Amino acid sequence: MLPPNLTQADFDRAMDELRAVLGREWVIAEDGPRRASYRDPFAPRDVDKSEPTAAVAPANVSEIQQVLTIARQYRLPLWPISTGRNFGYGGPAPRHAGTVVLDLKRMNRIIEVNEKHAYAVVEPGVSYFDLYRYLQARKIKLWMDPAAPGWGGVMGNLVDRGAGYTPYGEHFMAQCGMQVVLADGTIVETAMGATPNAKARHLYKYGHGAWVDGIFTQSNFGIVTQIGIWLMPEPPGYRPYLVTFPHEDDIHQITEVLRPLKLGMLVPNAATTVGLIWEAAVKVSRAQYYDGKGPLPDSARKRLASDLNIGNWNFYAALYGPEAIMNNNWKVIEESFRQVNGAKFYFEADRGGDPAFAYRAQLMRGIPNMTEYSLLNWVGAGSHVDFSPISPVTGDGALKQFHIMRDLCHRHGFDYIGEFLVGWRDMHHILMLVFERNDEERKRAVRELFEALVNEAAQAGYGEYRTHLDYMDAIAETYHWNERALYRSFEMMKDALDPQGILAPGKSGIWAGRSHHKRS
Amino acid sequence: MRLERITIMLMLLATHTSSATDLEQGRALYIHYCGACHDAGAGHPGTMRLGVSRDQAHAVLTARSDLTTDYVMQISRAGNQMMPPFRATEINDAELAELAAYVTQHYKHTQ
Ligand SMILES: Cc1cc2nc3c(=O)[nH]c(=O)nc-3n(C[C@H](O)[C@H](O)[C@H](O)COP(=O)(O)OP(=O)(O)OC[C@H]3O[C@@H](n4cnc5c(N)ncnc54)[C@H](O)[C@@H]3O)c2cc1C
Ligand code: HEC
Repeated sequence: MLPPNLTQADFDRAMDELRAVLGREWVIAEDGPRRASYRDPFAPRDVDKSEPTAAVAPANVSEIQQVLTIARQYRLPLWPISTGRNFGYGGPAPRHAGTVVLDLKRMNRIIEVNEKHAYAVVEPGVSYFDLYRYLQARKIKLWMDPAAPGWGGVMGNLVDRGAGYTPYGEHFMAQCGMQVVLADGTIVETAMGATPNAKARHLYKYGHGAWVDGIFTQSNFGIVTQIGIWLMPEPPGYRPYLVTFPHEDDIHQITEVLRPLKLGMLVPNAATTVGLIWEAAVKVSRAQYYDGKGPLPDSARKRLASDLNIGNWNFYAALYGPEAIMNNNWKVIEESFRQVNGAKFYFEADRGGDPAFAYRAQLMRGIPNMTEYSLLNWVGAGSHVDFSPISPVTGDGALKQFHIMRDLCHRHGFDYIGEFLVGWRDMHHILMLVFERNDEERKRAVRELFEALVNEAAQAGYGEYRTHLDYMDAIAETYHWNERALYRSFEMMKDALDPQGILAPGKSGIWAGRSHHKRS
Repeated sequence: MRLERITIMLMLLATHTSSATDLEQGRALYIHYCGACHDAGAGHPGTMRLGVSRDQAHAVLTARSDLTTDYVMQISRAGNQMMPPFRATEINDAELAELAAYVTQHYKHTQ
């Protein structure tokens, strides 16, 4: 599919000019597997239709600037990706197929790791595995914070405002210092980086004047080319734990118990309460328990829980620090969760050979892995899209969201596969909609379910923190307070920073050329 | 970075046939890009899935004698059901050949 308003002849000329800048190998415009690898293989619709018109891969900032010059001349839309492993939210594919993916994976330098001040500076292509191996090879006593799939990257995940599981799990909170290339080719260093010869570029987030780093996340206002990320000094002790709870509606009390523990920082890391099937699917598949249609019946759920020695909810967190502190904190944590009838407590030694405990224990101390991908095996050759509303950390909120989402899943014939992740004062409720990728009927059902989820969550006052390409406009519409004032301000910024609309058209529901539109 | 160095070495080696050194490069690429999903044991989604979609005897990629280099290259670039594809910016064509050589020949060294 060609970009809108571009003739084939102009498109071909633009590609030729790009080849002259990047070399033939890094302009991927011809039919075939090299270009097809930019599709969203998990799209809940026709996967072929997600294939972008081309992909280009610059090796440095100067090449990005040259690509931008050509893009501005031809009005060629560009969709920047870093490691490009955004599966569940669209993978490496752009919002609109008539867009050229700007693949920054080749820019993969770890520019600096500062052990004294505990931070790293990376380019877009640095994956979690890359950074982890770099730290290990040099015996640097700093931990990074990966998302569950280790092949994603520090920058791509962070600018999409993703999350991990150590005390630094809210990735954007740990960001400090950013380099951005604007649509007109200007290179901007944000915050302290704007003072020439900056001494505290990666130590103080805000600099002087307006703080803009946030506008380059989940947006299309610039291409991020460097990012500073704070790393956690390795603590003297680490003890991951699991608490299981027997009943579905325990999520109410679990959440009430958890709030003061999180606010008081007795649980310092991303506290994750994992639903039964999410916990089980790392180890077994659905067919082993049930071969009928529709959600897993209660009898099968009970067998699953007893076979695997897990709960309807499974709470993961960890203790960090000197022994004495860990021991004291544990007393408070254990006492708190004991209030929930039937709570059972486990440490690493109690869960030997359990891959679910093992991968969580790795993630909570910054060791990247791929284990969570096993979830897609729940239904055979699975795909998934994620639905992720934010809720306050209250029992009522958690229970209400859980009921809405579970009941909708069941009504549409899907299992509820979810987890609640408490960052600090909020909960990310992540619902994995796992579906059979070769079954058109199920894909249709997943689309219907997703629409119902967006609407019901919005009516109940819950907005999503992030979404799949196909739902960016729908989610944007739910942020419509005061006649779309927020989105109208995005549109003004968009038209000021990128008047031709060449960067990531439609990202997060932000489109160019709309700032002159009348109020809603 | 290390992978850039590997790329340069691979370009130098591109005219050779699979020597021990080539397999060493292929091994590094396997560890970097495939091992987290395909190594033996629990917690590896590729191994888990192949144990079902094939069978236990075909679950561990590097223990298999029935894979051809063409097939491994094709799957890596195009993906396969649950397994998403790898782009040329991650593993280029020359690297893919080294990787496939390692994956298809490794079983000989484990018997
Ligand atoms: C089984 C499973 C588990 C998951 N668990 C988690 C989890 O624990 N936490 C989590 O956060 N996510 C999770 N995800 C979602 C997702 O796969 C990860 O967030 C992944 O890290 C995103 O891919 P990436 O890091 O390669 O980012 P990329 O794909 O490189 O980037 C993501 C998006 O950010 C924008 N972007 C990227 N780079 C730039 C740039 N340089 N300039 C401007 N814009 C840019 C683009 O819109 C791009 O599409 C999970 C997915 C699956 C399938
Ligand atoms: C996200 C985890 C993941 C990663 C990383 C991964 N794979 Fe896979 N791979 C899978 C899964 C899952 C399957 C099984 C697909 C199915 O049957 O649904 C698979 C299947 C395969 C097959 C097909 C085997 C057969 O019997 O047909 C090959 C070959 C393969 N992978 C090679 C690779 C190589 C080489 C790499 C590294 C470049 C790699 N994989 C990386 C998950 C992964």
